Amino acid sequence: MNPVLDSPPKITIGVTEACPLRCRHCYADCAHAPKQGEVSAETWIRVLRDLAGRGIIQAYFEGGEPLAKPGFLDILRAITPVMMTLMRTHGIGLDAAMARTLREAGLGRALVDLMGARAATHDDWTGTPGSFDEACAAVRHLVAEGIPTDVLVILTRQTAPELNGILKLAHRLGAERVGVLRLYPMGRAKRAWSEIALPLDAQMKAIAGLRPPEGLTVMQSWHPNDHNCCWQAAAINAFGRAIGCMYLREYVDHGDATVTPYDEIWRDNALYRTIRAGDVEERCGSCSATQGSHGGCRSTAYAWHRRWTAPDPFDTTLNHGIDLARLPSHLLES
Amino acid sequence: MASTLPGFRRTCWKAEPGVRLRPVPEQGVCLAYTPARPALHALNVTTWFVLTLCDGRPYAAIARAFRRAAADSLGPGSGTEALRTALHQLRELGLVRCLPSVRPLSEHTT
Repeated sequence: MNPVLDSPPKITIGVTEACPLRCRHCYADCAHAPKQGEVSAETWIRVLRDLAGRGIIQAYFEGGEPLAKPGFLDILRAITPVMMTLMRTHGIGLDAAMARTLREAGLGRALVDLMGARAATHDDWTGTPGSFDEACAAVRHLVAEGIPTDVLVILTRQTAPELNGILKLAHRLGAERVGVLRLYPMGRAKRAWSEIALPLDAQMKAIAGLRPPEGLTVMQSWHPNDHNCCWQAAAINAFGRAIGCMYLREYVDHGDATVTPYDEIWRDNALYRTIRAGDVEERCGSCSATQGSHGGCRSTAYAWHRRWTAPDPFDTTLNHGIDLARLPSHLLES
Repeated sequence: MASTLPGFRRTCWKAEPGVRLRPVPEQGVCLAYTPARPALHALNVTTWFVLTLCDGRPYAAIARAFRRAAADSLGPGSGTEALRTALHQLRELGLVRCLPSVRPLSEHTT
């Protein structure tokens, strides 16, 4: 079984599904404007203050693009006195003045997505000319303001050949760490899967070939680091729904977190408890030993097998011949 | 490392204003957030306990309370070094500050 927490100390907030980019793999199927039914900034502030009172000490904001959320800076200013904050961004519009504003608002850490080591790759991916230059400039501005900054990259057919270039670029820009993330079959990524997804052996080869410059830390979750982090995961989507983890956004709805206190949902929702428990059919001994959790990621396990107890096919020892470059038909139908 | 702290024994120790703690006893840690220098730190049980002792009392009083609590789990002499290391870490992380002791040390030690 996984470790057990009585209530979550940290939470992810999918603060909006608005974004100025048109990424080919966008998990949230973002639009340029906020969608109907998104939680208002005022409500986010109320919910986050309540969460702080219930023991949440860290909020990780993502989207969409958090900076595209009307009132996002008000949310940040309201919550940084009581919570560590992290913001995942594409860096559009994050100039020197905005970096200063974020520092003054108390932002604790920024994470900037790069989708290539070159403008041609990144901009093609985002569908937005100039977005690579803006993302790189954003990292520089954040670092210049003293905000610890990481770079994130999703491992795809397009980014794999440029991973080491991204590591070098991130280091030059002043990032502390690079997170290499798996590709999840959600939103537009699901529909573009055959063009962008790599088979597992190619993913493992790309991870094995990582050569970070001295002083740069790489974070990745492939074998033997495949963790089942659901035991500590808490998340609310842009519409105020409790979903446990942003990577479960298409699979679960644990209730309205703008009405029901999150710790009650954590305690009372049967499916949420099941997903956190780590009661899995099969585990990888090496990953269990390094991560202290079992069975690997529940999102990809469920995506391929439609069972919460299933093995994670992104783990080499649990894959059992599944071709990750092809999606199961049930995902394409949903 | 800890012994480089200036005036270590002549100071009072107090948590920085605004520091927020979130005990996670299930994991044997306490998360500590420092809004003045935004960061989240995971404190082990020893450092967490020392932080709770930093309420403005002087080093000698902290040491006495720490020795009492640690008597069962630390060997002779090791308590002092563990305490100094914890105080040093807490100060480096921006969780506590040293205040000059304004009264003679003896007044704090009874």
